[in-house]
Amino acid sequence: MKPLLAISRLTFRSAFGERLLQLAAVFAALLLMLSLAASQLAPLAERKVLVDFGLATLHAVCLVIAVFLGSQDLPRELDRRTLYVVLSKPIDRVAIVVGKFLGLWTALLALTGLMGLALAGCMALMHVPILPAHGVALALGTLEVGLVLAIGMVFSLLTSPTLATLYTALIFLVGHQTGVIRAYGLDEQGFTRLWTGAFYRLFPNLEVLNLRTLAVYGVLPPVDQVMAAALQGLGWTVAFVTVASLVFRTREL
Amino acid sequence: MWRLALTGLVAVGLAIASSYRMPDTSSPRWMAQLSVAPKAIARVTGGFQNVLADVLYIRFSTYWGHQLTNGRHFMNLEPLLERILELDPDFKAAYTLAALALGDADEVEAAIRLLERGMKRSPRDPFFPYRAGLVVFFNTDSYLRAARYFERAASLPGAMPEARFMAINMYRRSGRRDLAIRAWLSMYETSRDRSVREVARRGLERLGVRVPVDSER
Repeated sequence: MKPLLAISRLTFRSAFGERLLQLAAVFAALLLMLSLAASQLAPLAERKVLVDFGLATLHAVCLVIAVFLGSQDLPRELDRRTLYVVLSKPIDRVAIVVGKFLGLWTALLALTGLMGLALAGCMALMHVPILPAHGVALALGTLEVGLVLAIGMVFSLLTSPTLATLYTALIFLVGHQTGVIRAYGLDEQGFTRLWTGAFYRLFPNLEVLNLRTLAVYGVLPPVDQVMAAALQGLGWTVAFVTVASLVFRTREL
Repeated sequence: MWRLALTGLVAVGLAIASSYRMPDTSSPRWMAQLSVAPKAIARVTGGFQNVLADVLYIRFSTYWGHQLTNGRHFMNLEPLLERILELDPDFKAAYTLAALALGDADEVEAAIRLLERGMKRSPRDPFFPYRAGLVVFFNTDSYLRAARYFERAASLPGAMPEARFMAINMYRRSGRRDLAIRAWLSMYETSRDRSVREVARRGLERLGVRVPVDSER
């Protein structure tokens, strides 16, 4: 447990010291200001546009960072041979992967928290009430970010960093369509129903973690639905981190 | 790696910034561009379809505002609004703007179609029938039709208090005294607010129907 925490702490520190994360914070601040400007261009919908753009900006920035960090962090450390120092110690490789994941995820959570505060400031400025639904949407969003990070880590250990980035982005897009594919399959019979069902089970349904659409209108879904979505997200994340750990464990370095 | 990451961030930034660019709303090319936003785009937004609806809404209001003061050459209003509402079917401001813009462009039936869609989606929400009543009232002489929408709105929970008054007013304008009396009576009998009941009593009295004052009951 101790090495895992040490690795995650180090990863958090190095990730937060990265230029990418700092640039992302500046970029997000600019986008939030742009959200304020955009809300002034939307007659009758100023508040809605501010919340929409604000939540979307925050989530999109975190997702982009998660895709890049997930798919490039481990290969880069292997390339620079910095990871070999850790590998030479009597530490289980699973702890390395899990520690890395936790460190990166915590860094992204911190980034979400900072940007969330900035958004709350913008909302207060515009007299937009801050509702529990906004917080829940952000919380589920961070689960999606964690899941994308884990997917990126799996691909980063299986292929080149560029392809890993591409595959992760594709899985993200597909993950938001599994519900649509499933609904299509339910109306069909035979093979189509079979393959759409299999497809639905094979990929994580990321749309269940998207509560931003409802949060904008202040609507909070029932607690059991939120819990089910959170458990689904966490379950997939654990599964992907486990796969990444197993791949890393069996990999010849 | 960082170059790739920064390129990605810049690309996302440019994509978002380009959607903010103030368009030359007088150009027909811009209109064509606006009307080419296929459903497929919504499919690949990855959960960001609300933002796309907002961007289209901003573009639509800019276009409509420009045309209001520059020749009133309205084009494709209904399909554009339909697209916004497909992306975000709960976007009430878009319904309000649709009612205003389409009503003003003499496309009342199109406005009603969109509002009927809202009614179908949220049958317990008085917002949609009330808006439909206003569209019909402001843009046509079909007072009876407007009255029906207002009455429908008034019958729903959380209805705006003026919905019932509008319904009564419309019934009177359409010459349907019987329906106006029915609406006043409904208000008189169902309201718990004494002042509202008094207003209803006076309304009935004006139509020649006497009901007891609260103190007489």
